Amino acid sequence: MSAFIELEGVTKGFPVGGGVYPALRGIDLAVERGEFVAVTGPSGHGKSTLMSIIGVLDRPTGGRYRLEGVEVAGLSEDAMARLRSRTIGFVFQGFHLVPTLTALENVELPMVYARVPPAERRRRAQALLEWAGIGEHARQRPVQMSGGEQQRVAICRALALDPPLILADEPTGNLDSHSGRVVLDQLAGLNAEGRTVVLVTHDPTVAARARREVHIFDGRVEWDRRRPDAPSAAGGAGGG
Amino acid sequence: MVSAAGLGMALRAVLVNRLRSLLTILGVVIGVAAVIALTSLGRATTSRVESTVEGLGTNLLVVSPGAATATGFVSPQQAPITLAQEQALQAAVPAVDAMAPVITTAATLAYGSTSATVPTEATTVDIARVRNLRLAEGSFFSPAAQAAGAADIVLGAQAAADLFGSSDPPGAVGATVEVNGLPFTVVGVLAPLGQSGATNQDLSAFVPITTAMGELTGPADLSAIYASARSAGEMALATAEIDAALTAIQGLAPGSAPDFTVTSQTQVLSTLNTVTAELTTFLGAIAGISLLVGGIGIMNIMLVSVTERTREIGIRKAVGARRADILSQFVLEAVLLSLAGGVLGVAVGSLITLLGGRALGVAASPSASSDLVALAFSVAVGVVFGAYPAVRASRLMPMQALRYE
Ligand SMILES: Nc1ncnc2c1ncn2[C@@H]1O[C@H](COP(=O)(O)OP(=O)(O)OP(=O)(O)O)[C@@H](O)[C@H]1O
Ligand SMILES: [Mg+2]
Repeated sequence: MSAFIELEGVTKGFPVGGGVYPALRGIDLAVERGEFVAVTGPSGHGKSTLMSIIGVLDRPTGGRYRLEGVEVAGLSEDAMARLRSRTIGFVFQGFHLVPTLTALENVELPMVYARVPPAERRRRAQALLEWAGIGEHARQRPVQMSGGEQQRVAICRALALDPPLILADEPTGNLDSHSGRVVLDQLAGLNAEGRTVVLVTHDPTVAARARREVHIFDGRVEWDRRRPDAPSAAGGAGGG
Repeated sequence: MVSAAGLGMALRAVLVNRLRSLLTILGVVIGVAAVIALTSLGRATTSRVESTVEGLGTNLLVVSPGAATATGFVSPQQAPITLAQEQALQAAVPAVDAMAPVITTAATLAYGSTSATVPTEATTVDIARVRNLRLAEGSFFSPAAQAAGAADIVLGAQAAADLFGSSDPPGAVGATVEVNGLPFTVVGVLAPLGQSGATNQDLSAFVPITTAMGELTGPADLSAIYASARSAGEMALATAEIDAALTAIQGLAPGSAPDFTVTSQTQVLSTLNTVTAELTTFLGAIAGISLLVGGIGIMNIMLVSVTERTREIGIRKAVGARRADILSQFVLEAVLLSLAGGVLGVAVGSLITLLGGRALGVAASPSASSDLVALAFSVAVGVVFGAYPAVRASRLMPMQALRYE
C-alpha cells in the first residue's frame, strides 16, 4: 500500500565549479492524504530543494519518488506538466507572479493551460480572489499590490484547479505577522477541507499549528514528529 | 495552441516592451521596405526599357556598314552600303516584310524666328511600316512625292513642339519650315514615341531620300538599312537572307568575313532583359540580406527576452504549461513582431516606391503579390528566428528557470 507522497533515498546534487554539491543526501518520507506537514530546518539545508522535487519542478538525482503511487522519474514532460496542473498547487516564498499580468489573469493562468473555457475561468478566478479577500485588486498588476496581497493571489492561483496537494515554501517568510496569520489560516482551512498541505517554515509558532513536523538537516530527515494535540484538527492521516 | 488567451498574452508581452519591440521590428521594416521598393522599382524600369525597345518594332533588323568584331565595329569600313545595293537587296530577301534605307544627318530646322537642330533621316516612305511610326496629324510623304523628289518633311513630336510650341494639336501641317536653309512643307507630325536610352526618339524629322540626295546631303552612302521581318519567328531567316544577299551584292566571296553588321531588335531586347534581370536579382539579393539581418535582430531580441523572462517561463511551467505552450507563446510573439514589422515595411516600401518612381520618372507601383511575398517572408523570419529561443526556453525544468537570476 503506497502513500500519497513517497520518497525513498532521494538525492539531489547540483553541479558547482568542477564537482557536485549534494543538497539532498537521501530523503525517506511518506505523507498520507489529508496530512498537514511542516518542514523545518536551518537555512541552506535542502528544504526548498526537497519541495521542488515533491512539486515535480525538478528531477531527483537518485532514489525513488512516487506521487499518487506513480513513479515520477518515468513520466514524460507533458505528463509532468499534467501533474503540476491537476495535482499540485505550489506557493512560493517569492510569490512568483507573472509581472505583466493582472491579479485576475495570474489566477487564470493554470486554467488557461488546463483549457478551461474563458468565461468559467474568469468567474472562478474572481470567486477565488473574493474568497481571499482581495476581490477589489483583481485588475491590479503585482507591482501595484502589497506583499501580503501578492501572496494571497499566489494562493488563489495554487487553488485555481482545485488540486488535492498544496505545497507552500515559506509562504509567510516575506510577510508581517498579521498577513502571515491570514495566509496561514487560509492554508489550515484548505487542510480542513481535506487537502494535503506541506509547508516549509522557519517560524516555530507556524510549525506548531501542523500535526506533523519534518526537520531537515544537512540534506537528510533529522527527525519526523507527529503532534496529535495540534490545534488544526483536520481529516488526519490515513486517506488515500 | 493558438488560443485567444495565448494571443492576448503574446500581444501583452509585445506591448509591455514597446521600445524594445519597436527596435526589434526596425530591421524587418527596413528589410521588407527594401524588398518592396527595390523589386517594384526594378520591375518598373525593366518594363519601361522593354516597352521603349518594343516601340521601335520587335521585328526590326538594322544593317549597318562595317563588320562587328568582339571589340565593336571595324571602322572605317572598306565597302560602304549604297542606295543601289539597298534596292538590289530588297528584291532578294523574301522573309523581309519592308525595308528602308536611311541617311542620318543633323539638320537645322527653322520656322519663323524659332530654330532647332534635329537628327533628320533621309529615307523612303517604307520607314513608317518598318518602324511602326504612327501619325498624330497629317500623313507620311507619299510614294509619288518621294519619286518626284518633293520637298516634304514629317516631324517627330518633339521637333514639332520645339518649332511650333506645344499646342495640341500643333497645327504644323501645311506650314513651311527651312531645313538647312531650304524650304520644306510639313506633311505630317508623328505621335510621341518616348525615350530610347539616352536618345529622345521624338526629336526627329523624316525627308524623302531622293530629295535629300539632290539638295540636302548630296549623293551619299547609307548610314543604315532598316528592315522588318515578316514575323518574330522569321527574324533568324531574314537575317540569314540579308547576310547572304548583301555579301553577294557587295561582291565579297561567299563565306568571307562580311563588311556589314545585321543587328536584330530581339538581340538588343534579350541583352537588355538579361541585364535588367540580373540587376533585379542583385537588388533582390541585397534586399534579402537586409531582411535576413532584420531576422537576426528578432532572434537576438528573442534570446534576450528568453533570458530576461526565464523566471516567467519557470512560473508558467510550474502552473502546468507544457513545452508546446511555452513554444507557441514565444513563436506567436515573434510572429506578431515580424508581422507588425512586415506591415510597416510594406507601407514604407510602397511610399519609397511611389516617391522613387516619381524621381526616376517611371510608373512604379508596388504589386499586391510582392506585398504578400514580403509579408509571408517576414512571418517566416519570425517563426524561424522565434523558434530557436523558444525551443531553448521550453526545455528548462521549472526550478532551473525560477532559480535563474
Ligand atoms: N541550482 C543550484 N545550484 C547550486 N547549488 C544549489 C542550487 N540550488 C540549491 N543549491 C544549494 O543547495 C543547498 C540547499 O538549498 P535550498 O534552497 O534547498 O535550501 P533551504 O533549506 O531552502 O534554505 P532556505 O531556508 O534559506 O530557503 C544550498 O546550499 C544551496 O546553495
Ligand atoms: Mg528555501
